[in-house]
Amino acid sequence: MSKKMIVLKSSEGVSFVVEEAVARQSKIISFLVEEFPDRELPLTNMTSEILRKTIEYCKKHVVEDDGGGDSSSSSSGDLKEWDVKFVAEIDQPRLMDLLMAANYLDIPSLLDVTCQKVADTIAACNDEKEIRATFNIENDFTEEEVEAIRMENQYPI
Amino acid sequence: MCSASNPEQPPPQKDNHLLSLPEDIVLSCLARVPRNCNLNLTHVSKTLRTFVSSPELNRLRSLLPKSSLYVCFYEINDNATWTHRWLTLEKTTTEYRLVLFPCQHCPFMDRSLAASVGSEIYFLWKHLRYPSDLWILDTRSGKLSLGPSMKAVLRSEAILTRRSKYVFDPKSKIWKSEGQEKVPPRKWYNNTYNIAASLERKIYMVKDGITSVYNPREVEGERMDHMRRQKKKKLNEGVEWVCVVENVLYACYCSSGLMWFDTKLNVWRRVVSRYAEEACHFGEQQAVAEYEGKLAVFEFVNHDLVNNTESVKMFLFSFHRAGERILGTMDWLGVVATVPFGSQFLHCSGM
Repeated sequence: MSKKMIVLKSSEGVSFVVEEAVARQSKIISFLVEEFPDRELPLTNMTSEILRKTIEYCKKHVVEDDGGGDSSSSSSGDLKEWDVKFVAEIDQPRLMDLLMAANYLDIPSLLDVTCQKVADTIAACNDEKEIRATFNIENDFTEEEVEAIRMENQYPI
Repeated sequence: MCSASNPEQPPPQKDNHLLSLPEDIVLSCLARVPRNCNLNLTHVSKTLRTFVSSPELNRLRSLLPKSSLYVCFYEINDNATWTHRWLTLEKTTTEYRLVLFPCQHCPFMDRSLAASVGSEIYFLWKHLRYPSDLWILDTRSGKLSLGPSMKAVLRSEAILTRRSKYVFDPKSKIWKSEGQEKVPPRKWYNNTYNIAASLERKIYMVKDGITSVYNPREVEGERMDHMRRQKKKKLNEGVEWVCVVENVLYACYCSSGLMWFDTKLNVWRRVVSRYAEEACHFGEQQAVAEYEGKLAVFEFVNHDLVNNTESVKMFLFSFHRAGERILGTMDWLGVVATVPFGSQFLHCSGM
């Protein structure tokens, strides 16, 4: 029995043919597939690159439910390891895009790992300057404000 | 007039800007950042500072699923030495099992108290000792490192309150005192068998019908609040364990069974569940921890005389609020491991 396939189209108009079970991990796609069966789903706010990454993640995380007795789906430990590698390979700007994609498509587990990666990146920064540089955040404090915060955070001994 | 200069084009925030993400996403990223980075974050920008101090962030943090669980077993050998074994909970598509977690062992494992901070487990001496070492196990790498020694005067109290009164800052690796204590330490010493859990930045201790709350953040005055049992709610009975799951404190009472603590009314209430009796046994050796927003209860069953082993059974409870009540349902139960007969639980941490 052949598996049902659906077509997702990126912002550049590139089509991706994906197994329905894989794509259904996105709650949005799951909904759209039911509303508009047999139609291409245009994802105009996602680049091919990000869409490809998202599909790669979904393929790895799809739960094989064909009752074949072949326990091909990975154990939680293996999956966690795979997730760590998956986000480690992505650079900062793409990570943000992937995070947005996970949010838009409503894929909770992908949103989890991408948020965790952002958090780990923040935690790895040694000081506020490094956080600003990594995440392109503008310092909008005045000198006096900085001093005031420092005083406030002095630990009583 | 001059608003939205280009209405056809949605802002293509293509810049790699953390704060250009929707607010709820920024919050869920920040919730995953260890608290010891808060200080750095507040210095970054005004917006970030507002995020860090928002109550919403605290709420999100407490709701983050604890998706790893570690159990340490020990057995006493014939020559009176101890063997320790760490196992971690693994989930396959249909079931759970405890698998061996290779890691280094803290030198005083058999006399240690453990507390989890982020992805690390901290070990402290259970008894008075000087100098009192602190060992830190990083569960990501399985490596153990030595933390700083605590001053003699801090030891016992930090242990009894389980890192509440003296806070260890993981980044600077320094123990910090949270100011002068008004409660005479003796009160703590007396309760040798305090069972404690932290919830909403306070420490709850349960012993023989008295629930005490310790708030380390109160600047002056009464930090300890002993809640005598309610006149009509007779809960003058032993407690087997306490555990916080998704911001609710649960306890296994001797005859009342599985209860939860209503922090609004300061009373213990029974969890409505027909499974609680099956899973929560007073007097049996049990280990508990939060796992993925659920309560995992472990106990030993089935002594196998041929192999001289016993099985470890896990009950996984999930809780749902229904008005003023909390309903408990059994999500899963089954054997998760087989260990040598005579094994005991030493530590159990969800993180």
